[in-house]
Amino acid sequence: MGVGVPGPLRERLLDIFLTTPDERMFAEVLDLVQEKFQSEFGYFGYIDSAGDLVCPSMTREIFARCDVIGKDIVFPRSVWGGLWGRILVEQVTLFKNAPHATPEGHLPLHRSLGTPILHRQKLIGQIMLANRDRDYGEHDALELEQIGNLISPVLAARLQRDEMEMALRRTNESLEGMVAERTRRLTEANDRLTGEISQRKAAEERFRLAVELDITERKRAADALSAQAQELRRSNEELARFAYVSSHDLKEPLRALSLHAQLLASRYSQRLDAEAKGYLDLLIAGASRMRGLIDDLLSYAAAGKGEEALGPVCCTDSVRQAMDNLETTIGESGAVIHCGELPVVDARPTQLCQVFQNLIGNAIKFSGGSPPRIRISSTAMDREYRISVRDSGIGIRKEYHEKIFEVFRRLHGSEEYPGSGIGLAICKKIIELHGGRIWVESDVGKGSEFLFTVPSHRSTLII
Amino acid sequence: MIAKHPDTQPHKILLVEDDWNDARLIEQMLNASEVRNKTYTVRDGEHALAFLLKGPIFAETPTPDLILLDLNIPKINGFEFLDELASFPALAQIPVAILTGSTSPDDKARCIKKGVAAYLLKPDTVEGYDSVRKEIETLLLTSTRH
Repeated sequence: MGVGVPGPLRERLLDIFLTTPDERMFAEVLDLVQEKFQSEFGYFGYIDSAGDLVCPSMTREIFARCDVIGKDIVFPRSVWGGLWGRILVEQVTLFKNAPHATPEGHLPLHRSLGTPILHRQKLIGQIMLANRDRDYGEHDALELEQIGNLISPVLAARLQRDEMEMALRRTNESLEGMVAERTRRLTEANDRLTGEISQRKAAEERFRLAVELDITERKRAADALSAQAQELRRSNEELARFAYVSSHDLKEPLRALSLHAQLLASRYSQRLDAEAKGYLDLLIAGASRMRGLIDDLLSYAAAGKGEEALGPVCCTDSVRQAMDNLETTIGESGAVIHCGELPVVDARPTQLCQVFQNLIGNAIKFSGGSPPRIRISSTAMDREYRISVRDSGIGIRKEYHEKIFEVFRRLHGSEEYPGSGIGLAICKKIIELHGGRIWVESDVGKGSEFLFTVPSHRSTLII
Repeated sequence: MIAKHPDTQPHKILLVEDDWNDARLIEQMLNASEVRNKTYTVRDGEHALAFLLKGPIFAETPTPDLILLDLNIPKINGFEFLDELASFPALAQIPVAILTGSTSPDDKARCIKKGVAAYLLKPDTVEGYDSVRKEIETLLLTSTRH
């Protein structure tokens, strides 16, 4: 344990260990020991964690002709050999005073002395000296061994510290590496997520804008439609009011006119010949017809007036009501009416009934001799229903398919078929005010099918 | 126009009617009546009031026993005339028979509320014509005024 190492030498050795930084420690110890043992060459090395001998300090001239890379020379365990190798392996202090076998390029060695540095029976380093002028002896061996013992704990501590520092650094590096890696991965993930989020946001924004646009457009369209519908209703009501007032004013003179003619015919019947009576009859009939036309015009103006509330109407009920109203006509004509399953629609009840009444009435009127056969059915469409009133009557020539819906448009003289030609015009007005369309499919002698559309329940704009 | 029976004083009728055709018709009808009457015709409510109040040009006119009133007259309509009439105690006593072309039940209800003696529809047939005349004759005969 360093017993026997002279005081000053001991102090200097310890001083080196305590105060000298790594790089110089080994060199200074070697210089000191070389000087003491007056040896030309030497090295001081330690055993590293791999078990190899590392020489931070070696007299450079030993390997004069070899390249030294770095300041540490490493001798792997596998190349240990010669006296120095024996010392390491056998862990004994040895010396030799004869020429050694040395590798090529190696300086010749005549004498050498070396000691292993052991700490707790573990080899931790070595000091080798060579080429003193005189032989090494037992005394030198002992002294060197004592120096080794002295150095041992301090070297061990140094090496441990170095190792710990190394381990710490390695751990640090590894940690740093891990952190860097983790950071890198997180950054990547973050970037990906950020990218995804932006994409998602962009998509959401586009969608939101599209929906907004869609809603705005729809609202605009709905508002426009609603405004239009309002306007239509307003102008319609104005027309109805005007027609109501005008019709009375128009009819008043006709009453007196007709009555005068009637009084004339009645009071003066004996004094009038057949011709004169004929003229009077025509006068009376003319006035009557005029009143009828005015009444029809009034009906037309009043048709579709919006006082009745729009709501769900069962078409079957509507047809039944119309048939009740036409009871006499149906009875007299022997008409057979077949009504299929009909839907519930959005309509004004009285007006829808009026449509059915007019269509059924027409079908009976224009049946052409044989008992009328009428078929009422419906087809569901997208958001509306198509109702069909089909008859087996005289039919309508194609070129008149649109004309018949005009006001007062009649295809036959009043002697053939009575009526002022207002029924279909009223149907058209009512259906169009409900937002639907009405048309006919027919040909002469092939019966007629009157079709109209009506919005299905819950799909109309609430005006 | 003097009616057929000279032993009774003729009833005086104020006819308020703006349509000359209708006016002639009524005048003719009343002229042919068995109940003696004399008809005075004015064109609107303003003139009617002036007549009744014996305003400037109507200074010499008699107070009528019956007013035959059309609702559809210019300047002030029949309802307004009725209200005006009611505001003059002396005139409010005179029975009023509405003679109108209006079939509106609201109009009828309104007139009855205002206390008219009868609500008659203008005839458009010979039968109607005869029946309206009979009603007016009844009104004249049952009137306490004469």
